[in-house]
Amino acid sequence: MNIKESSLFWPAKLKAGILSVLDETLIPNKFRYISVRNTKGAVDVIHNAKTRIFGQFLVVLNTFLLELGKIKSPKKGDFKSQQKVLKKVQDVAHDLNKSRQGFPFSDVTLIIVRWAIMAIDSGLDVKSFVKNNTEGYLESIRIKRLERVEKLSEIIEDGDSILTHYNVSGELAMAAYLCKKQKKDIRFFVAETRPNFEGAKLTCWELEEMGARATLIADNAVGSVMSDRLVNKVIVGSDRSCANGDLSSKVGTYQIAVAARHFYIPFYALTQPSDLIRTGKDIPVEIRHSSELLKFNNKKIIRGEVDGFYPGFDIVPHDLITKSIPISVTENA
Amino acid sequence: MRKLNITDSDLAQMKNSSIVLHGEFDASFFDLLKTKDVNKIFVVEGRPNLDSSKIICKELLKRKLKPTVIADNMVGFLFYKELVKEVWLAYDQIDYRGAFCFIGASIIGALSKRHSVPVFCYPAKRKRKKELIGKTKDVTLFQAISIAPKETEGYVPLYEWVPGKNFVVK
Repeated sequence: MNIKESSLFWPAKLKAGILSVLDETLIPNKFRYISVRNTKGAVDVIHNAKTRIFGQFLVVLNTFLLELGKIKSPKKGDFKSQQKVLKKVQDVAHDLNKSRQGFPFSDVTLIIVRWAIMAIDSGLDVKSFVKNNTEGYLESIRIKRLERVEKLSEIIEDGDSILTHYNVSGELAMAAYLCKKQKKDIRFFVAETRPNFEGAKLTCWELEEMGARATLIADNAVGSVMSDRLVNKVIVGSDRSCANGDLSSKVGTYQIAVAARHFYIPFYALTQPSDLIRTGKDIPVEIRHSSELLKFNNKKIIRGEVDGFYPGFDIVPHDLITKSIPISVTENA
Repeated sequence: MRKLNITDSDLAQMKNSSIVLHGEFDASFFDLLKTKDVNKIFVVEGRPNLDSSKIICKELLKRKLKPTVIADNMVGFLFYKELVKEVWLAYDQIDYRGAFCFIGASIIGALSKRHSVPVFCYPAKRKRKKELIGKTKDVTLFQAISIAPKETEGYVPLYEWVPGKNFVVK
């Protein structure tokens, strides 16, 4: 597919033994990649949220490739050395599983560990088997995401005005680029997404980079743009999906979905179908430290001894979603 | 990013016991509030200028009431977790058809309707400023610091009309 790629679409790339991770916290003021050379560096990048969830997912997968790249391939039949490679994979998985509180990277690392065990059980070279499967898995995710960009561009029609929230990691901006190539006249309203302003900083930036028209609004204006018919569609991303179609997404998404239903605006969500969680009510809450809300640039935003409350994400019940746009990637080796 | 050890069962204990305040209330509102039995008072931040939360927090603290500030996009979470027993909106004008309130009120109205939470309206502190729409920089800046790319266009409604046959005027 001939499409201009957003930097946020694939924010972590492994080349010549270095994993380059886009520091999303610096955008739009600076554009810089962090060089990660080992598991510790990968854990630091994730722990410090230098990239968001999809970027962290790429960091997790690429860290195995990074560490395997440093290992000399064992000789055929050298069972002891194969076991050492398995142990290395398990150690990397263990460290990565602790990198982000409250998010199950263990679901991802378990896939890699299983491949390593499968290789041992089948008498195959662990390093090659895990490397080939991980690279294949990454490539299939990439292809599926590009396919979803195309699907998204088909949903977007000439004349559409789309409300979005947080950041959809490249796909929405790339769909906007395709729509522009197709001569569709579209525009975006972007909710700023307090407290860290990912909508303002990342989404406005990447939409503008891709040549799309983006208008920034405060989070509290989403109802107003809907009731005044300034938008006719909502498109958002999601972090996790449930078996019943519920999803979790950045805080603010639930009220947008409720407002969309209230004002008869179709609500579309990019999802990653999974049966691991039954419903949205089974996803544990994540309440973050209030200083992230009450301070900005190290200064208090409100005087006095006030409390803050910062839920990290919302659950959107499936009945509020007009259409999910799923991506499905099999881990089968 | 630091996660706190608050669980769903902790939130379950707060069910239907909190109130949400939105807008720039007249000072007399806070004397009324002192008589209410509430677990938590959630104060909506009130972008773009945060004036409403600053006014509310100052008045609450004067009366030794502890405010809990939330961002404008966090109100939905409170409703989803069933923490809210009632909502108070400051209004500029009101009649039988609805209320002219500070921006964000329509979202709260939609949430209240979905979750069957009563909405009460109280007069705002002052007559609204002439402008109904703010400037681009009101939204591209936060605490005087730029949060968006340089040439970003902004749309900044400051008020909105909320149809509300079911609002209770106090």
